[in-house]
Amino acid sequence: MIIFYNKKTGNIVGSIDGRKHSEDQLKMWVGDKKENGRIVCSWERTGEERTYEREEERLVETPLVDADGLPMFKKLVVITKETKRDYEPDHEQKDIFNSLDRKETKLSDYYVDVIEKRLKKR
Amino acid sequence: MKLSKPTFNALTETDPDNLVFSSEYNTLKYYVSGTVQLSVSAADAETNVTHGLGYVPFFLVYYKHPAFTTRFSMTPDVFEDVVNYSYIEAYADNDKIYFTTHTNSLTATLDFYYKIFKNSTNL
Repeated sequence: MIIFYNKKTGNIVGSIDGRKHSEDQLKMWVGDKKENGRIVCSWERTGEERTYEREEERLVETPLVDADGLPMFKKLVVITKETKRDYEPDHEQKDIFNSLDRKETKLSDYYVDVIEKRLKKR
Repeated sequence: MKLSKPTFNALTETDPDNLVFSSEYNTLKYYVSGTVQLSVSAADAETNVTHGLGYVPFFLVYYKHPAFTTRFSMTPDVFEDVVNYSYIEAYADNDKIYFTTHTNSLTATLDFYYKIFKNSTNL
């Protein structure tokens, strides 16, 4: 997430959603660059990759058809392997960015301390 | 390439309503989304987001009027009576999306929600 704020008042004036930002997105700005500053928070990988198995139900078409000529399906339980990696905000205020990401809080709940360049609760 | 909805045969289905995806039809390609706040004090106001795509993209903007906190409207939106008016809109050029209010009375902070797509409008 990228948060834009007024450099004089600390009011948040806009944002760009997302956990990772492309080079083009990092060139974006809200309002005037001279008036507005920004805080950039990207999510980075933490910890090891984990691979685990899980059961999944799938519908598979059979060669049979019903009385109306429509294809018939059967349910299969398959075991799939999935690899998971943990990510978290790479920012000193990661708790705030976590709560924003989970929509437990909103940007309007915060302002930016223009001297410390940190988010603060209203 | 086709991907059909459950119980429909992707090999034979031709109705796009029964397809999740078909390479025969173009799709909207999501680029970026976010929010913008605009403070309005009974006079025209404007702010913008620099998208920098070099062309006018397809975009959508919703806004939430502070008087109707559970209602999200698409721009443009108009409030008008005999004396007061406010006209809220969003427009684009090949570098920015602009969020604008024309008003003689509205005093509020407006929350805009934008979504920009990579698709060009070719305008």
